Amino acid sequence: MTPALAAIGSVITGAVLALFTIIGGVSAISPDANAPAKSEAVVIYDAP
Amino acid sequence: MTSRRWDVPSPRVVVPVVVAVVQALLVLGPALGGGVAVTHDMAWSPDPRWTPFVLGLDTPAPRAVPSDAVVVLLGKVVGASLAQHLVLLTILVGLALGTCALLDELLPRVGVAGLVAAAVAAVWNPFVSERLAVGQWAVVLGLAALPWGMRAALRVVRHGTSPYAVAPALVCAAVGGGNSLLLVGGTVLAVLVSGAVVVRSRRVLAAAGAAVVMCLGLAAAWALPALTASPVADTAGVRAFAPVADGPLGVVVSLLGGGGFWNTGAHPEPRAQVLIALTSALLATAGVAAAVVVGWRGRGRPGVLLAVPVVVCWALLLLSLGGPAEGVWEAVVTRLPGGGLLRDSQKLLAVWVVLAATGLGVLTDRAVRLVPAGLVGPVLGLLVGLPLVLSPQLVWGIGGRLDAVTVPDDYRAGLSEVSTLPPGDVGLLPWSQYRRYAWNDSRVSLTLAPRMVDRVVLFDDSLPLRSGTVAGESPRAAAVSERIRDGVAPVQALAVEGVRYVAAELGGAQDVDTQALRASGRVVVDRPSLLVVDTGSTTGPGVPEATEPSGAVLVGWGVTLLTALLLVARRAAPEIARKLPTGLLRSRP
Repeated sequence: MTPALAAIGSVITGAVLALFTIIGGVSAISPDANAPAKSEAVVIYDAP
Repeated sequence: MTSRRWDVPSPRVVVPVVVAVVQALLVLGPALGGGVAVTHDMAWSPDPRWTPFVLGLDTPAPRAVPSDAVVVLLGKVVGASLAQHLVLLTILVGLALGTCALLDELLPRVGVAGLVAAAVAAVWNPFVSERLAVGQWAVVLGLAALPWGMRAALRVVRHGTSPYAVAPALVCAAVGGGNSLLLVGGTVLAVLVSGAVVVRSRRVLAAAGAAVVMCLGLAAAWALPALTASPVADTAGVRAFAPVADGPLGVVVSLLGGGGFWNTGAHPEPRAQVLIALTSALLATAGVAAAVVVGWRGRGRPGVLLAVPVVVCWALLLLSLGGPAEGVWEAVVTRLPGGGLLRDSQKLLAVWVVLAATGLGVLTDRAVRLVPAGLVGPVLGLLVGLPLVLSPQLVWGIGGRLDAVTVPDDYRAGLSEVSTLPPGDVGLLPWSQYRRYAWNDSRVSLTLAPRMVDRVVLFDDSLPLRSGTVAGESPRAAAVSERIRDGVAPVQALAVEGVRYVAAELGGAQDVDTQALRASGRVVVDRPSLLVVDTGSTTGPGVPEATEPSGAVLVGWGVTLLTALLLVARRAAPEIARKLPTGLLRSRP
C-alpha cells in the first residue's frame, strides 16, 4: 500500500462519512421537536 | 511494610471504558444539567416519595414497579437529579461495556478496534434513540443488561460456571420491571435451554430451571398483583403497539435496522432517508451474521446458542405484524396470562440490536487485521463512524427530547401540601394522564402527580394516540371516563368514585374549569400551578380496594425483595469468603 493510495482511501472514507453526516444531521435538526399542535385538545402521546 | 502494586490497565480495558463514558455524556448532554429530565414515560419526580403509585398499590397492572421504587430509594440517598444522571449514565455505559464483554466471550483475542466498534454500535442505533426519546429508560436498562445476561448464560454452557452467574444480569433487569426482565430472562432462558440440547447437559438444563425460578421470584412484585387483578386488555392496543415502518423501506427493513418502534412520534428524522434506512439494516444484518458465524463452531457452539433467541424474537415480531396471524397474536396478547407483556413487540428486537453491535465488533476486528496497514485508519473510521452518522439525532439529548428542567417550586410545594391533608383519594384534572407542562418546554410527558402525592391518585389511564384511544386498566378511571362522556362534570364524576380531593394541574395546554372546581367544595391548595378542592366525598365503590395494599401486592413485594437479597448474597458470599481471610491477615491489631 503506497502512501498515495492510503491518502485516497482516507479522502473517500471522509467524503462518505461527511455525506452521511450532512444528510442525517441536517434532517435531524428539529427546531420545535414534539411541539403541541394548535388543534390539540387532549395531549396526544405519539404527537410528532 | 507492604506495598500494593497497581498493574497498568490494558488498552483493551481502558479504551472501551473511555469511549463508553464519553459517548454516554455526548448522548445525554443536556439531560445531565441541573433538575430532572421529564419526557413521555420518564416522569421523574424531583421529590423522591414512596407514593401508592410508586409502590403499585393503586393500579391493577403496576408497570412502574419496581423501577420507580428503586429510583426513589436512590433519590433519597443522592437526590432525584443526581439519581437520574447516575441511572441514565450507568445504563448507557453498561450497555456499551456489556456488548464489549459479550464480544470478548465470542472472540477472546479481539483487539481494541473491534471493542470500540461494538461499544459505539451498541448505543448509536435507532432502538436506543426511539426508546430514550419517549423516556423508556427501563427498556433501555433491559437492553443494557442483555449482553451481560447473554455472556453469563454462554459461560454457564461453555465453561460450566455456576447457574447463579446469570443472577446479576437478571437482578439488574428486574429493576426495570416486566419489559426489561422479559428481554433478559427470555434470552437467558433461550440460550440455556438450547445450550442444554447442544452440549447434552443436565447441569445446563438445571441452570435453565434455576433461571426460571429466579425470574419468577424477581417478577413477583408486579406479576402477582397483575395476575390476580386480571386487567382487561384493550384489543385496540394490539394494533396500536405493533411495529411500524420508521423509514421509506417498510417495517421489516426498519426492524432489521433496529428501529420500527410503534410510536411514530419517536422516529428519528434521519431514518426517512432511504440511504440511511438501508445502510443501517444492512449493517445490522451483517453484524448479526458475523456474530453468529464467528461462534458457529467452537466450544459450546455459542453462535448457535445466540441464534436461537434471535429466531424466537423474529418469529414473534413477524407474528405481531398482523396479516393472516393477526387473530393468533391478538389472542396471545389479550388472553394469555402475562401476554400483555408482548404487546409492544418491537422491544424484543433488543437481542438483534445487541448481536448486531457485537458482530460489528467482529467485522471491525477482522477488517483491521486483513486490510493493508495504510487502510487501517480509513476502515476503522468507517466502521466505528457509521453507527454515529446513521443515528446522528442521538447526540446531545436526541434533538431536544432529553433536557433537564427545573420543576417549579410552586408545583412541588402544592403537591407536598396535598400529601399532608386528612385521608382521602385525589382525583386528577385535566382528565388525562399526559401533560405538556409549560416549564418543560411543552414536551409530552406523564403527569408527575401520582409519583409526588402520597395518596391514591385517580387519573385517566387511557392512552390517547393519533390513531385513537387505547383503554386503560383501572376500572375506577374507566367509570369516571364513562360518566364524563355521558355529560357529567369531571368533579361530580370523580366524587361518585369516593374521591375526596380534586386536584387540577394548571398552566398546561389543557383547560380546567377552575370556577366550577372552586364552587364544588373547600379550596385547600390554591397556587398558580395547582388548585386542590376538598369535595368532602369519602364513600364510593372503589375506595376500600384502592386504599389498602392487597395481599398479592404485599406477597409480591416480599418475594421479589427476598429473591433479590438471596441472589445478591449468593453471588457475594464466595467473594467475601475468598477476600475476608486475606483481609484479616493483612489487618493489624
